[in-house]
Amino acid sequence: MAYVNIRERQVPFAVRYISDLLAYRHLAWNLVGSDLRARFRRSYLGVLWAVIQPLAFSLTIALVWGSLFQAQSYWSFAIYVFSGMIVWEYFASVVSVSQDALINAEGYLKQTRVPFFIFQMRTPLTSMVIFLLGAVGLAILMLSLQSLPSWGEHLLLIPLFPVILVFFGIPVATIMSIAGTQFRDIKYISQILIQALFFVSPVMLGREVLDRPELNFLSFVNPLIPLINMFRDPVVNGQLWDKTEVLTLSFWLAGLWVVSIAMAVRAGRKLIFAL
Amino acid sequence: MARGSEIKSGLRIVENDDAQADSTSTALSRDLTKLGIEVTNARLTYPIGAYTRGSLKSAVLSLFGHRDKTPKAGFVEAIRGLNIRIAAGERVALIGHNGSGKSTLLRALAGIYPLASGEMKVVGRIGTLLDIGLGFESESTGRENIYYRGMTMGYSRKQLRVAEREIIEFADLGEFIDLPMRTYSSGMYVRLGFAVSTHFSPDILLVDEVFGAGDASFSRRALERMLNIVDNAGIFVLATHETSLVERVCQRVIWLDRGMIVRDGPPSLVLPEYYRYMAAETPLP
Repeated sequence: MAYVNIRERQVPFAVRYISDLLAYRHLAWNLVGSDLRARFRRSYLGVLWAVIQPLAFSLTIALVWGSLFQAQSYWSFAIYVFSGMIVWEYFASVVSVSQDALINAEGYLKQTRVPFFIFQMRTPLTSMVIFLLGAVGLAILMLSLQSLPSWGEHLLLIPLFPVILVFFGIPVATIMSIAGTQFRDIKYISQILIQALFFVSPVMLGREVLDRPELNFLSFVNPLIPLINMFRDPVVNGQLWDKTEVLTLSFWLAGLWVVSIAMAVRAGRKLIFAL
Repeated sequence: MARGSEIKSGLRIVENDDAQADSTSTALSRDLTKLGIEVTNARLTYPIGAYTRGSLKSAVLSLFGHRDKTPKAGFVEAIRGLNIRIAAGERVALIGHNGSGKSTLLRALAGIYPLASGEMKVVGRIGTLLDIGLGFESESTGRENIYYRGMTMGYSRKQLRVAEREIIEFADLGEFIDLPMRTYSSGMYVRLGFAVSTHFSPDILLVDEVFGAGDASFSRRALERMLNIVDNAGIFVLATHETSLVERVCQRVIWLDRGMIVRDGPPSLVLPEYYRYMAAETPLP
Protein backbone atom coordinates (compact mmCIF):
# COMPACT_ATOMS: atom_id res chain seq x y z
CA MET A 1 0.00 0.00 0.00
CA ALA A 2 2.94 2.20 0.30
CA TYR A 3 5.62 3.99 -1.56
CA VAL A 4 8.53 4.79 0.64
CA ASN A 5 11.56 6.66 -0.39
CA ILE A 6 13.54 6.24 2.74
CA ARG A 7 15.45 9.41 2.07
CA GLU A 8 12.22 11.15 2.91
CA ARG A 9 11.66 11.09 6.60
CA GLN A 10 8.53 9.41 7.93
CA VAL A 11 6.73 12.26 9.61
CA PRO A 12 3.17 13.36 10.36
CA PHE A 13 1.11 15.02 7.65
CA ALA A 14 1.36 18.56 8.95
CA VAL A 15 5.12 18.44 9.48
CA ARG A 16 5.49 16.95 6.04
CA TYR A 17 3.42 19.74 4.54
CA ILE A 18 5.56 22.42 6.13
CA SER A 19 8.83 20.77 5.17
CA ASP A 20 7.64 20.27 1.59
CA LEU A 21 6.57 23.88 1.54
CA LEU A 22 10.05 24.93 2.60
CA ALA A 23 11.76 22.55 0.20
CA TYR A 24 9.77 23.72 -2.78
CA ARG A 25 9.38 27.40 -1.90
CA HIS A 26 11.76 28.34 -4.70
CA LEU A 27 9.61 26.53 -7.18
CA ALA A 28 6.45 28.15 -5.89
CA TRP A 29 7.83 31.67 -6.23
CA ASN A 30 9.30 30.97 -9.61
CA LEU A 31 6.01 29.64 -10.90
CA VAL A 32 4.42 32.86 -9.75
CA GLY A 33 7.14 34.84 -11.49
CA SER A 34 6.67 32.81 -14.63
CA ASP A 35 2.91 33.37 -14.54
CA LEU A 36 3.36 37.09 -14.16
CA ARG A 37 5.91 37.25 -16.93
CA ALA A 38 3.75 35.14 -19.22
CA ARG A 39 0.77 37.34 -18.47
CA PHE A 40 2.42 40.59 -19.40
CA ARG A 41 4.98 39.37 -21.89
CA ARG A 42 4.77 40.85 -25.35
CA SER A 43 2.55 43.73 -24.27
CA TYR A 44 3.85 47.27 -24.41
CA LEU A 45 2.47 48.43 -21.11
CA GLY A 46 3.32 45.16 -19.42
CA VAL A 47 2.63 45.10 -15.73
CA LEU A 48 0.83 48.46 -15.91
CA TRP A 49 -2.19 46.58 -17.23
CA ALA A 50 -2.78 45.26 -13.75
CA VAL A 51 -3.47 48.86 -12.76
CA ILE A 52 -5.07 50.11 -15.96
CA GLN A 53 -7.59 47.28 -16.29
CA PRO A 54 -9.51 47.77 -13.03
CA LEU A 55 -9.08 51.53 -13.34
CA ALA A 56 -10.65 51.64 -16.77
CA PHE A 57 -13.40 49.30 -15.69
CA SER A 58 -14.32 51.21 -12.58
CA LEU A 59 -14.22 54.56 -14.35
CA THR A 60 -16.52 53.26 -17.06
CA ILE A 61 -18.93 51.75 -14.58
CA ALA A 62 -18.86 54.84 -12.44
CA LEU A 63 -19.56 56.99 -15.47
CA VAL A 64 -22.49 54.88 -16.62
CA TRP A 65 -23.91 54.13 -13.19
CA GLY A 66 -23.27 57.60 -11.90
CA SER A 67 -25.06 59.26 -14.78
CA LEU A 68 -27.87 56.71 -14.80
CA PHE A 69 -28.79 56.82 -11.16
CA GLN A 70 -26.96 59.87 -9.93
CA ALA A 71 -27.07 58.22 -6.60
CA GLN A 72 -23.51 58.88 -5.59
CA SER A 73 -20.94 61.33 -6.69
CA TYR A 74 -19.09 60.09 -9.71
CA TRP A 75 -15.55 59.94 -8.31
CA SER A 76 -16.27 58.38 -4.98
CA PHE A 77 -18.26 55.75 -6.76
CA ALA A 78 -15.24 55.06 -8.99
CA ILE A 79 -13.18 54.43 -5.86
CA TYR A 80 -15.94 52.22 -4.49
CA VAL A 81 -16.05 50.10 -7.65
CA PHE A 82 -12.26 49.95 -7.97
CA SER A 83 -11.77 48.73 -4.42
CA GLY A 84 -14.42 46.06 -4.84
CA MET A 85 -13.21 45.11 -8.28
CA ILE A 86 -9.67 44.13 -7.33
CA VAL A 87 -10.88 41.83 -4.55
CA TRP A 88 -13.46 40.36 -6.88
CA GLU A 89 -10.89 39.85 -9.63
CA TYR A 90 -8.72 37.97 -7.16
CA PHE A 91 -11.55 35.61 -6.30
CA ALA A 92 -12.75 35.17 -9.87
CA SER A 93 -9.30 34.37 -11.24
CA VAL A 94 -8.53 31.95 -8.39
CA VAL A 95 -11.75 30.07 -9.10
CA SER A 96 -11.44 29.99 -12.87
CA VAL A 97 -7.71 29.41 -13.27
CA SER A 98 -7.27 26.94 -10.42
CA GLN A 99 -9.60 24.39 -11.98
CA ASP A 100 -6.85 23.67 -14.44
CA ALA A 101 -4.02 24.01 -11.92
CA LEU A 102 -3.24 20.30 -11.76
CA ILE A 103 -4.11 19.64 -15.38
CA ASN A 104 -1.67 22.32 -16.51
CA ALA A 105 0.96 21.03 -14.11
CA GLU A 106 0.83 17.57 -15.65
CA GLY A 107 4.32 18.05 -17.04
CA TYR A 108 5.78 18.57 -13.61
CA LEU A 109 3.63 16.09 -11.76
CA LYS A 110 4.36 13.25 -14.16
CA GLN A 111 8.08 13.95 -14.23
CA THR A 112 9.05 14.08 -10.58
CA ARG A 113 7.49 13.53 -7.21
CA VAL A 114 6.48 17.13 -6.56
CA PRO A 115 3.80 17.85 -3.98
CA PHE A 116 0.54 18.84 -5.63
CA PHE A 117 -0.10 21.79 -3.36
CA ILE A 118 2.74 23.80 -4.88
CA PHE A 119 0.63 24.00 -8.02
CA GLN A 120 -2.55 24.60 -6.10
CA MET A 121 -0.95 27.63 -4.46
CA ARG A 122 0.18 28.99 -7.78
CA THR A 123 -2.89 31.01 -8.77
CA PRO A 124 -3.69 32.39 -5.30
CA LEU A 125 -0.13 33.72 -5.06
CA THR A 126 -0.03 35.09 -8.60
CA SER A 127 -3.41 36.73 -8.18
CA MET A 128 -2.18 38.16 -4.90
CA VAL A 129 0.57 40.04 -6.71
CA ILE A 130 -1.96 41.29 -9.25
CA PHE A 131 -4.17 42.37 -6.36
CA LEU A 132 -1.30 44.29 -4.77
CA LEU A 133 -0.60 46.02 -8.07
CA GLY A 134 -4.27 46.88 -8.27
CA ALA A 135 -4.07 48.24 -4.72
CA VAL A 136 -1.25 50.51 -5.84
CA GLY A 137 -3.54 51.72 -8.61
CA LEU A 138 -6.26 52.35 -6.05
CA ALA A 139 -3.85 54.34 -3.91
CA ILE A 140 -2.92 56.44 -6.92
CA LEU A 141 -6.58 57.04 -7.75
CA MET A 142 -7.34 58.02 -4.16
CA LEU A 143 -4.29 60.27 -3.99
CA SER A 144 -5.18 62.04 -7.20
CA LEU A 145 -8.75 62.53 -5.98
CA GLN A 146 -7.45 63.62 -2.58
CA SER A 147 -9.83 61.29 -0.83
CA LEU A 148 -7.34 59.56 1.42
CA PRO A 149 -8.52 57.34 4.26
CA SER A 150 -8.86 59.06 7.59
CA TRP A 151 -6.12 58.62 10.17
CA GLY A 152 -6.71 56.02 12.86
CA GLU A 153 -6.14 52.54 14.17
CA HIS A 154 -8.13 51.03 11.30
CA LEU A 155 -5.08 51.65 9.09
CA LEU A 156 -3.34 48.86 11.00
CA LEU A 157 -5.84 46.42 9.50
CA ILE A 158 -4.79 47.15 5.93
CA PRO A 159 -1.63 44.98 5.86
CA LEU A 160 -3.62 42.10 7.38
CA PHE A 161 -5.96 41.97 4.45
CA PRO A 162 -3.61 40.42 1.85
CA VAL A 163 -2.83 37.66 4.34
CA ILE A 164 -6.52 36.92 4.78
CA LEU A 165 -6.96 37.00 1.03
CA VAL A 166 -4.29 34.34 0.51
CA PHE A 167 -5.71 32.19 3.30
CA PHE A 168 -9.05 32.48 1.57
CA GLY A 169 -7.63 31.81 -1.88
CA ILE A 170 -5.57 28.70 -1.17
CA PRO A 171 -8.39 26.42 0.02
CA VAL A 172 -10.67 27.72 -2.75
CA ALA A 173 -7.95 26.93 -5.29
CA THR A 174 -7.33 23.50 -3.79
CA ILE A 175 -10.99 22.58 -3.90
CA MET A 176 -11.40 23.89 -7.43
CA SER A 177 -8.28 22.13 -8.68
CA ILE A 178 -9.36 18.75 -7.33
CA ALA A 179 -12.94 19.15 -8.49
CA GLY A 180 -11.82 20.50 -11.84
CA THR A 181 -9.53 17.55 -12.40
CA GLN A 182 -12.16 14.97 -11.60
CA PHE A 183 -15.15 16.62 -13.18
CA ARG A 184 -14.49 18.67 -16.25
CA ASP A 185 -18.06 20.02 -16.09
CA ILE A 186 -16.96 22.26 -13.25
CA LYS A 187 -15.69 24.79 -15.75
CA TYR A 188 -19.16 25.59 -17.02
CA ILE A 189 -20.88 25.43 -13.69
CA SER A 190 -18.40 27.74 -12.03
CA GLN A 191 -18.71 30.26 -14.85
CA ILE A 192 -22.41 30.53 -14.23
CA LEU A 193 -21.99 30.66 -10.47
CA ILE A 194 -19.35 33.36 -10.67
CA GLN A 195 -21.57 35.49 -12.84
CA ALA A 196 -24.44 35.02 -10.45
CA LEU A 197 -22.24 35.74 -7.46
CA PHE A 198 -21.07 38.98 -9.03
CA PHE A 199 -24.56 40.40 -8.86
CA VAL A 200 -24.93 39.68 -5.17
CA SER A 201 -21.50 40.94 -4.23
CA PRO A 202 -20.83 44.53 -3.26
CA VAL A 203 -18.61 45.30 -6.22
CA MET A 204 -20.95 47.67 -8.00
CA LEU A 205 -23.84 47.08 -5.67
CA GLY A 206 -24.07 49.67 -2.92
CA ARG A 207 -23.67 48.36 0.59
CA GLU A 208 -27.04 49.77 1.59
CA VAL A 209 -28.73 47.45 -0.91
CA LEU A 210 -27.22 44.32 0.63
CA ASP A 211 -27.90 45.60 4.13
CA ARG A 212 -31.66 45.55 3.54
CA PRO A 213 -33.25 43.08 5.96
CA GLU A 214 -34.65 40.84 3.21
CA LEU A 215 -31.19 40.54 1.61
CA ASN A 216 -29.26 40.33 4.83
CA PHE A 217 -28.95 36.54 4.64
CA LEU A 218 -26.68 37.01 1.63
CA SER A 219 -23.85 38.30 3.78
CA PHE A 220 -23.70 34.88 5.44
CA VAL A 221 -24.15 32.86 2.26
CA ASN A 222 -21.75 34.84 0.11
CA PRO A 223 -18.24 35.06 1.61
CA LEU A 224 -17.37 37.77 -0.88
CA ILE A 225 -19.55 40.24 1.00
CA PRO A 226 -17.53 40.21 4.24
CA LEU A 227 -14.32 39.83 2.24
CA ILE A 228 -14.88 42.90 0.08
CA ASN A 229 -16.24 44.93 2.96
CA MET A 230 -13.22 44.07 5.07
CA PHE A 231 -11.01 45.52 2.39
CA ARG A 232 -13.12 48.64 1.97
CA ASP A 233 -13.78 49.44 5.59
CA PRO A 234 -10.27 50.55 6.57
CA VAL A 235 -9.15 51.68 3.12
CA VAL A 236 -12.13 53.57 1.75
CA ASN A 237 -14.58 54.05 4.59
CA GLY A 238 -11.97 54.76 7.24
CA GLN A 239 -13.45 52.46 9.83
CA LEU A 240 -12.68 49.22 11.68
CA TRP A 241 -13.95 45.84 10.56
CA ASP A 242 -17.50 44.86 11.38
CA LYS A 243 -17.46 42.17 14.08
CA THR A 244 -20.20 40.09 12.51
CA GLU A 245 -18.42 40.11 9.19
CA VAL A 246 -15.13 39.05 10.76
CA LEU A 247 -16.95 36.18 12.45
CA THR A 248 -18.75 35.17 9.25
CA LEU A 249 -15.54 35.14 7.27
CA SER A 250 -13.77 33.16 9.99
CA PHE A 251 -16.41 30.47 9.71
CA TRP A 252 -16.02 30.44 5.97
CA LEU A 253 -12.25 30.18 6.22
CA ALA A 254 -12.41 27.33 8.72
CA GLY A 255 -14.95 25.51 6.57
CA LEU A 256 -13.00 25.97 3.38
CA TRP A 257 -9.78 24.73 4.96
CA VAL A 258 -11.43 21.66 6.45
CA VAL A 259 -13.09 20.77 3.15
CA SER A 260 -9.97 21.39 1.09
CA ILE A 261 -7.71 19.34 3.36
CA ALA A 262 -10.24 16.53 3.47
CA MET A 263 -10.48 16.55 -0.32
CA ALA A 264 -6.71 16.65 -0.77
CA VAL A 265 -6.13 13.80 1.66
CA ARG A 266 -8.90 11.71 0.17
CA ALA A 267 -7.74 12.20 -3.41
CA GLY A 268 -4.07 11.74 -2.59
CA ARG A 269 -1.70 11.04 -5.41
CA LYS A 270 -4.38 9.05 -7.20
CA LEU A 271 -5.43 12.28 -8.88
CA ILE A 272 -2.47 11.80 -11.18
CA PHE A 273 -4.41 9.17 -13.09
CA ALA A 274 -7.07 11.71 -13.92
CA LEU A 275 -4.67 14.09 -15.59
CA MET B 1 16.94 -12.23 1.22
CA ALA B 2 20.33 -11.24 2.50
CA ARG B 3 20.35 -8.23 0.26
CA GLY B 4 16.97 -7.12 1.50
CA SER B 5 18.02 -7.02 5.08
CA GLU B 6 21.17 -5.30 4.04
CA ILE B 7 19.11 -2.54 2.48
CA LYS B 8 16.93 -2.37 5.51
CA SER B 9 19.80 -2.01 7.93
CA GLY B 10 21.14 0.68 5.65
CA LEU B 11 17.87 2.51 5.80
CA ARG B 12 17.95 3.23 9.44
CA ILE B 13 21.33 4.85 9.18
CA VAL B 14 20.14 7.03 6.34
CA GLU B 15 17.16 8.14 8.31
CA ASN B 16 19.25 9.08 11.29
CA ASP B 17 21.62 11.38 9.53
CA ASP B 18 19.17 12.60 6.97
CA ALA B 19 20.20 16.23 7.23
CA GLN B 20 23.79 15.39 6.64
CA ALA B 21 22.95 13.02 3.85
CA ASP B 22 21.15 15.76 1.97
CA SER B 23 24.14 18.01 1.79
CA THR B 24 26.58 15.29 0.88
CA SER B 25 24.68 13.07 -1.46
CA THR B 26 27.77 11.85 -3.27
CA ALA B 27 29.27 10.53 -0.08
CA LEU B 28 26.04 8.66 0.49
CA SER B 29 25.89 7.23 -2.97
CA ARG B 30 29.36 5.76 -2.60
CA ASP B 31 28.09 3.51 0.13
CA LEU B 32 26.73 0.59 -1.83
CA THR B 33 24.72 -0.95 0.95
CA LYS B 34 22.46 2.04 1.34
CA LEU B 35 21.19 2.35 -2.18
CA GLY B 36 18.59 0.09 -3.57
CA ILE B 37 15.16 -0.58 -4.93
CA GLU B 38 12.94 -3.20 -3.43
CA VAL B 39 9.56 -3.91 -4.93
CA THR B 40 7.32 -6.40 -3.16
CA ASN B 41 4.03 -7.65 -4.57
CA ALA B 42 3.43 -4.35 -6.27
CA ARG B 43 0.11 -3.89 -7.99
CA LEU B 44 -0.80 -0.71 -9.81
CA THR B 45 -4.17 -0.03 -11.34
CA TYR B 46 -5.36 2.82 -13.47
CA PRO B 47 -8.90 3.72 -12.59
CA ILE B 48 -10.77 4.13 -15.83
CA GLY B 49 -14.31 4.28 -14.55
CA ALA B 50 -14.23 7.04 -12.03
CA TYR B 51 -11.85 9.34 -13.83
CA THR B 52 -12.16 9.09 -17.55
CA ARG B 53 -15.87 8.61 -17.62
CA GLY B 54 -16.70 10.30 -14.38
CA SER B 55 -19.20 13.07 -14.63
CA LEU B 56 -20.70 15.40 -12.16
CA LYS B 57 -24.10 14.01 -13.02
CA SER B 58 -23.26 10.51 -11.90
CA ALA B 59 -21.51 11.83 -8.81
CA VAL B 60 -24.50 13.92 -7.77
CA LEU B 61 -26.96 11.17 -8.55
CA SER B 62 -24.98 8.66 -6.56
CA LEU B 63 -25.32 10.94 -3.58
CA PHE B 64 -29.02 10.21 -3.71
CA GLY B 65 -28.44 6.50 -3.91
CA HIS B 66 -28.77 6.36 -7.65
CA ARG B 67 -26.77 3.57 -9.22
CA ASP B 68 -25.16 3.96 -12.59
CA LYS B 69 -26.89 1.72 -15.08
CA THR B 70 -23.78 1.18 -17.12
CA PRO B 71 -21.50 -1.15 -15.21
CA LYS B 72 -18.37 0.53 -13.83
CA ALA B 73 -15.49 -0.05 -16.17
CA GLY B 74 -13.26 -0.41 -13.12
CA PHE B 75 -9.55 -0.61 -13.46
CA VAL B 76 -6.82 -1.48 -15.85
CA GLU B 77 -4.12 -3.46 -14.17
CA ALA B 78 -0.86 -2.00 -15.35
CA ILE B 79 1.38 -3.83 -12.90
CA ARG B 80 0.40 -7.14 -11.40
CA GLY B 81 2.27 -8.48 -8.44
CA LEU B 82 5.80 -7.47 -9.28
CA ASN B 83 8.74 -8.52 -7.14
CA ILE B 84 11.96 -6.85 -8.09
CA ARG B 85 15.13 -6.11 -6.22
CA ILE B 86 17.78 -3.87 -7.69
CA ALA B 87 21.07 -3.34 -5.93
CA ALA B 88 23.48 -0.45 -6.17
CA GLY B 89 25.52 -0.31 -9.34
CA GLU B 90 23.04 -2.31 -11.42
CA ARG B 91 22.14 -1.17 -14.92
CA VAL B 92 18.73 -2.54 -15.67
CA ALA B 93 16.77 -2.45 -18.90
CA LEU B 94 13.00 -2.85 -19.01
CA ILE B 95 11.81 -4.29 -22.30
CA GLY B 96 8.48 -5.44 -23.61
CA HIS B 97 5.61 -4.52 -25.89
CA ASN B 98 3.89 -1.17 -25.80
CA GLY B 99 1.58 -1.27 -22.84
CA SER B 100 3.56 -3.92 -21.03
CA GLY B 101 3.99 -1.65 -18.02
CA LYS B 102 7.53 -0.37 -18.51
CA SER B 103 6.77 3.32 -18.24
CA THR B 104 4.26 2.75 -15.49
CA LEU B 105 6.84 0.87 -13.47
CA LEU B 106 9.33 3.71 -13.89
CA ARG B 107 6.77 6.24 -12.74
CA ALA B 108 5.89 4.09 -9.77
CA LEU B 109 9.57 3.82 -8.86
CA ALA B 110 9.84 7.59 -9.07
CA GLY B 111 6.95 7.88 -6.63
CA ILE B 112 4.75 9.56 -9.18
CA TYR B 113 2.13 6.84 -9.50
CA PRO B 114 0.70 5.42 -6.29
CA LEU B 115 0.48 1.65 -5.93
CA ALA B 116 -2.82 -0.08 -5.43
CA SER B 117 -1.19 -2.60 -3.14
CA GLY B 118 2.20 -3.99 -2.32
CA GLU B 119 5.25 -2.10 -1.32
CA MET B 120 8.06 -0.19 -2.89
CA LYS B 121 11.20 0.87 -1.13
CA VAL B 122 13.53 3.17 -2.91
CA VAL B 123 16.63 4.46 -1.19
CA GLY B 124 18.48 7.27 -2.87
CA ARG B 125 18.06 10.54 -4.64
CA ILE B 126 16.03 9.96 -7.76
CA GLY B 127 16.63 11.59 -11.12
CA THR B 128 14.03 11.10 -13.83
CA LEU B 129 13.90 11.49 -17.54
CA LEU B 130 10.46 10.18 -18.26
CA ASP B 131 8.91 12.27 -20.97
CA ILE B 132 10.92 14.76 -22.90
CA GLY B 133 8.22 17.31 -23.48
CA LEU B 134 7.03 17.33 -19.91
CA GLY B 135 7.98 19.69 -17.15
CA PHE B 136 8.95 22.65 -19.28
CA GLU B 137 7.27 26.00 -19.58
CA SER B 138 7.17 26.49 -23.33
CA GLU B 139 6.81 30.28 -23.08
CA SER B 140 9.92 30.54 -20.91
CA THR B 141 13.48 30.39 -22.15
CA GLY B 142 15.70 27.37 -21.81
CA ARG B 143 17.70 29.17 -19.16
CA GLU B 144 14.60 29.85 -17.08
CA ASN B 145 13.50 26.28 -17.51
CA ILE B 146 16.76 25.01 -16.05
CA TYR B 147 15.63 26.71 -12.87
CA TYR B 148 12.07 25.40 -13.01
CA ARG B 149 13.15 21.84 -13.66
CA GLY B 150 15.89 22.03 -11.06
CA MET B 151 13.47 23.42 -8.53
CA THR B 152 10.96 20.64 -9.11
CA MET B 153 13.81 18.38 -8.12
CA GLY B 154 14.04 20.36 -4.89
CA TYR B 155 17.15 22.42 -5.57
CA SER B 156 17.45 26.05 -4.59
CA ARG B 157 18.03 29.01 -6.83
CA LYS B 158 21.52 29.34 -5.36
CA GLN B 159 22.48 25.75 -6.14
CA LEU B 160 21.14 26.15 -9.64
CA ARG B 161 22.98 29.37 -10.24
CA VAL B 162 26.20 27.51 -9.53
CA ALA B 163 25.17 24.67 -11.82
CA GLU B 164 23.71 26.80 -14.60
CA ARG B 165 26.86 27.27 -16.68
CA GLU B 166 27.78 23.60 -16.67
CA ILE B 167 24.25 22.54 -17.55
CA ILE B 168 24.17 24.94 -20.48
CA GLU B 169 27.55 23.72 -21.60
CA PHE B 170 26.45 20.11 -21.54
CA ALA B 171 23.16 20.79 -23.32
CA ASP B 172 25.12 22.74 -25.94
CA LEU B 173 22.17 24.67 -27.33
CA GLY B 174 24.05 27.77 -28.47
CA GLU B 175 21.97 30.95 -28.52
CA PHE B 176 18.79 28.90 -28.24
CA ILE B 177 19.27 28.79 -24.50
CA ASP B 178 17.82 32.31 -24.29
CA LEU B 179 14.90 31.66 -26.62
CA PRO B 180 11.48 30.41 -25.52
CA MET B 181 11.32 26.63 -25.46
CA ARG B 182 8.45 26.53 -27.92
CA THR B 183 11.07 27.27 -30.59
CA TYR B 184 13.06 24.15 -29.70
CA SER B 185 13.24 20.94 -31.67
CA SER B 186 12.48 17.70 -29.88
CA GLY B 187 16.17 16.90 -29.83
CA MET B 188 16.85 20.14 -28.00
CA TYR B 189 14.20 19.29 -25.43
CA VAL B 190 15.98 16.04 -24.74
CA ARG B 191 19.36 17.71 -24.42
CA LEU B 192 18.19 20.24 -21.94
CA GLY B 193 16.10 17.74 -20.00
CA PHE B 194 18.93 15.29 -19.80
CA ALA B 195 21.46 17.95 -18.84
CA VAL B 196 19.37 19.16 -15.91
CA SER B 197 18.16 15.75 -14.74
CA THR B 198 21.62 14.27 -14.58
CA HIS B 199 23.63 17.27 -13.49
CA PHE B 200 23.26 16.63 -9.80
CA SER B 201 24.30 12.98 -10.17
CA PRO B 202 21.19 11.29 -8.87
CA ASP B 203 21.71 8.02 -7.03
CA ILE B 204 18.98 6.43 -9.08
CA LEU B 205 18.41 7.45 -12.67
CA LEU B 206 15.13 6.41 -14.27
CA VAL B 207 15.01 6.91 -18.01
CA ASP B 208 12.17 6.26 -20.41
CA GLU B 209 13.10 5.86 -24.07
CA VAL B 210 14.52 9.24 -24.91
CA PHE B 211 17.83 8.75 -26.60
CA GLY B 212 16.46 8.51 -30.09
CA ALA B 213 15.84 12.21 -30.30
CA GLY B 214 19.34 13.56 -29.67
CA ASP B 215 21.99 13.55 -32.41
CA ALA B 216 24.90 11.14 -32.45
CA SER B 217 27.44 13.27 -30.63
CA PHE B 218 24.99 14.13 -27.89
CA SER B 219 23.91 10.51 -27.51
CA ARG B 220 27.52 9.56 -26.96
CA ARG B 221 28.05 12.20 -24.31
CA ALA B 222 24.75 11.32 -22.67
CA LEU B 223 25.69 7.68 -22.53
CA GLU B 224 29.05 8.60 -21.07
CA ARG B 225 27.45 10.60 -18.33
CA MET B 226 24.94 7.87 -17.57
CA LEU B 227 27.66 5.31 -17.24
CA ASN B 228 29.51 7.72 -15.04
CA ILE B 229 26.53 7.92 -12.72
CA VAL B 230 26.30 4.17 -12.59
CA ASP B 231 30.01 3.89 -11.97
CA ASN B 232 29.52 6.03 -8.92
CA ALA B 233 27.53 3.15 -7.52
CA GLY B 234 24.21 4.51 -8.69
CA ILE B 235 21.30 2.61 -10.14
CA PHE B 236 20.20 3.04 -13.70
CA VAL B 237 16.86 1.81 -14.98
CA LEU B 238 16.06 2.27 -18.65
CA ALA B 239 12.81 1.44 -20.40
CA THR B 240 13.48 0.98 -24.08
CA HIS B 241 12.77 -0.82 -27.32
CA GLU B 242 16.31 -0.32 -28.51
CA THR B 243 17.89 -3.65 -27.79
CA SER B 244 21.28 -2.62 -29.18
CA LEU B 245 21.45 -0.01 -26.46
CA VAL B 246 20.46 -2.61 -23.90
CA GLU B 247 23.28 -4.89 -25.00
CA ARG B 248 25.80 -2.09 -24.78
CA VAL B 249 24.76 -0.56 -21.50
CA CYS B 250 22.84 -2.90 -19.27
CA GLN B 251 23.89 -6.03 -17.48
CA ARG B 252 20.38 -7.02 -16.55
CA VAL B 253 17.18 -7.17 -18.53
CA ILE B 254 13.67 -7.38 -17.16
CA TRP B 255 11.16 -8.39 -19.81
CA LEU B 256 7.66 -7.32 -18.94
CA ASP B 257 4.40 -8.36 -20.45
CA ARG B 258 1.00 -7.15 -19.29
CA GLY B 259 2.47 -5.96 -16.04
CA MET B 260 4.20 -9.19 -15.15
CA ILE B 261 7.78 -10.33 -15.43
CA VAL B 262 8.41 -12.78 -18.24
CA ARG B 263 12.18 -13.06 -17.82
CA ASP B 264 14.71 -11.41 -15.58
CA GLY B 265 18.38 -11.99 -16.27
CA PRO B 266 21.49 -11.00 -18.20
CA PRO B 267 20.95 -9.71 -21.76
CA SER B 268 22.77 -12.69 -23.26
CA LEU B 269 20.05 -14.96 -21.92
CA VAL B 270 16.94 -12.81 -22.11
CA LEU B 271 17.40 -10.99 -25.41
CA PRO B 272 17.65 -14.02 -27.74
CA GLU B 273 14.44 -15.34 -26.32
CA TYR B 274 12.84 -11.92 -26.65
CA TYR B 275 13.88 -11.66 -30.31
CA ARG B 276 12.47 -15.08 -31.01
CA TYR B 277 9.22 -14.14 -29.39
CA MET B 278 8.97 -10.80 -31.21
CA ALA B 279 9.81 -12.35 -34.59
CA ALA B 280 7.56 -15.35 -34.42
CA GLU B 281 4.93 -14.11 -32.00
CA THR B 282 5.24 -17.47 -30.35
CA PRO B 283 3.38 -17.79 -27.08
CA LEU B 284 5.16 -16.34 -24.09
CA PRO B 285 7.72 -18.65 -22.54
